[in-house]
Amino acid sequence: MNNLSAEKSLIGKKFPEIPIIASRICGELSVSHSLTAIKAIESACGITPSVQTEKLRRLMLIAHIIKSHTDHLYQSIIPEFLGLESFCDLKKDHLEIFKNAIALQKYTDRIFHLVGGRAVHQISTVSGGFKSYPSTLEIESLDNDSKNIADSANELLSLVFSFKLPNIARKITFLALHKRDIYALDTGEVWSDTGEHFMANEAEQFLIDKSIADQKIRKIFLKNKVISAGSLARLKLNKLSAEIKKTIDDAQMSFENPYSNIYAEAIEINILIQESLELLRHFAKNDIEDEPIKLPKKFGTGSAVCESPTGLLFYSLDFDKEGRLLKYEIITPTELNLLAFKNDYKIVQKTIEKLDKREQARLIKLLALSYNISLPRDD
Amino acid sequence: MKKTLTIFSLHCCGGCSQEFLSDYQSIGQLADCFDITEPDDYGHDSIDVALVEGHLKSEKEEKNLKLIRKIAKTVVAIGACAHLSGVGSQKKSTKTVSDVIKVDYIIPGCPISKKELYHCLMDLYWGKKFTLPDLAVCFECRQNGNKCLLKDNKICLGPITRMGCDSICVNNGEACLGCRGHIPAPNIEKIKEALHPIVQDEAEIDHLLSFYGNQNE
Repeated sequence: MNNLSAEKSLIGKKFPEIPIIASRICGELSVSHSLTAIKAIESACGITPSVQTEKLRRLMLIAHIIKSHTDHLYQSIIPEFLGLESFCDLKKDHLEIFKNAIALQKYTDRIFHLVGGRAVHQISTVSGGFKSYPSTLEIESLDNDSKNIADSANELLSLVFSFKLPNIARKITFLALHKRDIYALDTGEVWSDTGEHFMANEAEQFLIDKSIADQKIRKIFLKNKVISAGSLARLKLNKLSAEIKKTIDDAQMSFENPYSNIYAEAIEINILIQESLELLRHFAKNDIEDEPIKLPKKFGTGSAVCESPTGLLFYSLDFDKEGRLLKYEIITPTELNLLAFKNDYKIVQKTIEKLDKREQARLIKLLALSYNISLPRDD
Repeated sequence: MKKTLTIFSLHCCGGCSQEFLSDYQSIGQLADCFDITEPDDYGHDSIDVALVEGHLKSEKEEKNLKLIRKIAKTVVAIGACAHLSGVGSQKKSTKTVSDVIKVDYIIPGCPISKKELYHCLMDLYWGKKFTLPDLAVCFECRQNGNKCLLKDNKICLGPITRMGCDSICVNNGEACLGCRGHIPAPNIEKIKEALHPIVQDEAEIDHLLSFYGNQNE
């Protein structure tokens, strides 16, 4: 859900208020919005964050993606496949699955409590650093309590892989961040799987808005191509370990099948849980320093792009010399993915024409659930 | 016997309903008492509890909200958008939930405190009257051992803001910007006096005091 009132109110605000307001554009993606806004401010103001800040932000973004996928899988996908009315029925009918969900949810909540302050509308994350840091003792405690969390992620993966996905195949162009030797989430270049590469400040040359004037949601193309951003795109465009590649092959996951996003989210949770544990161990061994916040050297124009749970999020911010926002451009993952969703809807409708009405309704509903799209309100 | 609970989202980011649904263990416990649903349309016969988040920007939304009031035994407005209009709202073109219908309870904040909402819902289930605390955030801030920001020559609206958030912003190094709305009979003149040495510009003080919307409850 997008709050266009909050978005439009960005104009004229001083730079410290921008991430606070940006976070309130979308509650589900609040971490991505505030972090991408912060990075665009730093780009506009000549601030280079410290290595510690970059690592803490990465931990936060990882927790954000894990949490979003966990919510999506347990609250929408799993009840659908198990024939339940709602997520609440898991407790009654599938207690072990419910307990596993709680373990994953509590893990990310504890990370947010330590880094950022809370999951929805973070508090301590600001341009130039953090306003508050966790203690080494708190990090060690979380690290010690998380010995079994990788098993929880693996259990979720096994459960999701037990679901048979409808078999649809279509061509699409994947778009995600890419950087050598890392699972790119907040650094690197934007890559497509058809050879395009660009940085955040070049986005308007590659991402073309072809919507009609009075349409409320823009339709964004990569030049002339329909885009798919999110978990499938990230798995396609990042270097994966041999183990993860084997997992994908063993599951016979097809990147050309839009329903595969369900498998992709579960795979990503596993990848990111591992990295979050490595980061916690790093911070447990290396004391977090109470670094001063870096202040702007100048004000100008800056851009940034981060991965959000559902795909790329672009921010371009233009400040006056007092640090007040003159204009902005935000491209959301919904705008990148909406066209693919509409096209896939038509393809699936055509493919299932001969099935009975009940099965048709199920497959259409499942397609909508597979895409985790946050739609803006009418304004 | 279970009661029915439906969440309605008007103009907002959806953060408050997100917070509400984010603690699986608590939702699992609540689900023993409530059937929790999102609306398919406004065609319910009757609901026990309607949670409403967001502000209103159109006559169609006002009409729908009045329908909710008609079918819901209890209406709980949740979050700063429903309570005060919220961040970025324009006074002329935005209404709060209370501007349009009678509201039985308000759970303030941006986002809400999910513990506070769970507490309210369990009180409703057992037929108890739920009340918000009337003291200021300073009460919690002192208990949490925080250094007073105002005394340190920094912005803070804690003295006029309703407690219940456990002073989470100040705990994390940020100022209280009043997302939970005012305490009863807030001393606005006093807080303006305290802010003047820190923020010289009168317009800037007014901006801070209405950051989360219209505080004239």
